[in-house]
Amino acid sequence: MSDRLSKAMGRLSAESAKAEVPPEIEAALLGEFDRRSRRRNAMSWTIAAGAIAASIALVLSLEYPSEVKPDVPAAVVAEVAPESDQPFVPIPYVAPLGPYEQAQVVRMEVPVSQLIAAGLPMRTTDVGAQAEADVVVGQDGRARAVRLVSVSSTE
Amino acid sequence: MPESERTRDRDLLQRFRAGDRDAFTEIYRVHHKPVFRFALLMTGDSVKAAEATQDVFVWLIHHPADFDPLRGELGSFLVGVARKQLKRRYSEELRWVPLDESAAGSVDPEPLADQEEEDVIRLRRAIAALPERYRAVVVLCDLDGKSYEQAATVADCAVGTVRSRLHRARALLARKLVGRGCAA
Repeated sequence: MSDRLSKAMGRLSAESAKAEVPPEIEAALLGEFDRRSRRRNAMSWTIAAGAIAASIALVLSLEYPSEVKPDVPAAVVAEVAPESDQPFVPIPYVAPLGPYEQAQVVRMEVPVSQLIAAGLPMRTTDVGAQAEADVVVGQDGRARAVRLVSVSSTE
Repeated sequence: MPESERTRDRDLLQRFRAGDRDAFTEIYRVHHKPVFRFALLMTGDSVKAAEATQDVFVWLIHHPADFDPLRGELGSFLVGVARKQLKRRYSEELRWVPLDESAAGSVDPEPLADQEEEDVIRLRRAIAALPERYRAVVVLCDLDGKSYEQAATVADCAVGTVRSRLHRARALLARKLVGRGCAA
């Protein structure tokens, strides 16, 4: 570079080093940061509330099946053997059992629709049917996992 | 960059990602000046440079996980973001050319009493007229004092490419200024 060009470069560089960002930009950025934080918090609360509501609904439906059980017709068809060898399927959105937590396995009648909602692979298309299921219940009374024993179809 | 500054940036970034407002403020205060200076030298316009600086940090707010500390320095990364923002902005501006642009662009400045001042003004215009890839390396290496490695990070290219672009850019600048007395 020529001497004049490098001098001009030096002056331009020094000029630019003195330039200052307007102070209102920091305030605007902090406003944007706060808006994003509020949106993130609101979204987290929505997801948490949804998960809690889903797990409460599931637990209530598993623990008090008689309240939601429709009248079952006399003619029922067993599709699965009484002693199930199927694995337990964890119920979503529920904290897993602690390492020293005692659990009980309770056999109960559950609407098939609730088992589908809990993530069990069900082959029946009769969503009004009742199923007999083994439910793992923790010390706090919450259902943690479920396995299918038999399905009684209404068809 | 000293290890202490890297550690500080990593710590600030971790806190910022966890939602710490003070950490974001600190990141802005530490890194806004190099970003603004780069944008100012690239555009030659302090208003556009301020807007670009704001855009960079708004982008950071919305993409907190996009920077990987293992791949470089936060400062260089943010200047790289500024470069991409300016490129996009420039390509958008190309679609909106004022009607009197052709007349305004060809007018030479009035000769100034101070020769050095005149050289600076002409140099600024010559740099602004360079193609973006050449302008970026001149701004980074010749005006901002960045190393070739840092410039390569910002320009997202190899160090050898920075060297060759810088060589070519200086030649273009010299050619633009020949006849006006600056490069002679």
